[in-house]
Amino acid sequence: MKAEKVILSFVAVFVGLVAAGIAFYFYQSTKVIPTDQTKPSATQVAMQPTKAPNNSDVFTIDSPGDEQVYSQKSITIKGTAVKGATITVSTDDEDQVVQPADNGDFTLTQTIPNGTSLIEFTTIFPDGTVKKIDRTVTFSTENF
Amino acid sequence: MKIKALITVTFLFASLVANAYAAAPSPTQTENSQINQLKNKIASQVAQLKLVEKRGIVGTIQNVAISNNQITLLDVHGQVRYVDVDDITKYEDANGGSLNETDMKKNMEVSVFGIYNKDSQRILARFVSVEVVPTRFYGEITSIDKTNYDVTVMTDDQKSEKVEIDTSSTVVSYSGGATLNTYGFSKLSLGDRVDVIGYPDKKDSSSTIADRLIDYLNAPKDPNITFATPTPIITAAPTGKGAKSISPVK
Repeated sequence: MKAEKVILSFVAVFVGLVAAGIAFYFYQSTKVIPTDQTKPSATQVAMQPTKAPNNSDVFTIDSPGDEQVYSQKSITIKGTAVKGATITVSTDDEDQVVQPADNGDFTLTQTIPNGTSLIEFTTIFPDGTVKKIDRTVTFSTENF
Repeated sequence: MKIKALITVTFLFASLVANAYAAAPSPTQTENSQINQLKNKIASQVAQLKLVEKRGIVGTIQNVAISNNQITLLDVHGQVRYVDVDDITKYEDANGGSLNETDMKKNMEVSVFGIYNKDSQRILARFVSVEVVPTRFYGEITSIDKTNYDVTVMTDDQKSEKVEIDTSSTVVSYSGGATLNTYGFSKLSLGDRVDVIGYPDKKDSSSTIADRLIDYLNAPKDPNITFATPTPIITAAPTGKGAKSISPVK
């Protein structure tokens, strides 16, 4: 009796699986696959090679941050540029020029005007192209 | 029988857990309330400390809404900034003279110094000052007028800028290292790469009066500036052949 029940159960499961398989086959066959393959699929996008970073135009200013407020007139400027670049630092009333070290880092001290003003950083890369970065800085000792 | 055993074991575990909680002294409701209040106060203070900071921005006025105590600026990065003003906001002109909110007009260049709220991204102005922001551009010299002391500079976006060099202008050169050397207008050459910092000429709107001009003597040519350096025209020096001879008057 017990063996019969077990066999019947297995048969029922098998029949169920076959029925589900047939149903799944029909469901898949009703799907329409678009013929337009111009749009890249997610897989294709993922397989595209990533471009190697272009290091010839590296120019960043780490300090000062934009819109930063200082309570002293003399500030430290730190940044990174490609070796061989020429960096000009211009405030409202003076200019300084610096060239980065072998590792690309550069540091200089700059006196900033009273109140809020702009510092413009211009770099000439070895290939002759130019890149500019602006920073707004404020010198103030006001408490509020 | 089995069900009874299961119920007994469940009750046993439940009683153990209950005992474990009961072992810890529970604070009273008043103490809990006080702790929560203190927590909220600390959280509020910390949030306030992190949420606001002093900041200064420079921009061009787009709109002044006096009724709303609000000024809208377009900052140097091209972003719209909202500035709130109140009764204690101070206004100054470019020379430090006192102004008021009604003096603020569209297209004025101003700097704003105040309290910036990181959450709302608005700045509550404590000082608003009218600024004369210098014009800065970079390019190559395409023509030199030695009679009128001006040069034309082509920028990397192919714009031609006329630059006047007057007695107040400082001309310097850079040829390496960290020093700028005094230079002269007469030494400027066609094709030189220059950086100009100046102010618009009030008499000629198409011209800029240079405050400073840096001539980068050894800089490589900018590939984005398409300017053919003209070759100098060599003219033959006049000879005496065929000319009338001049004899000294006795």
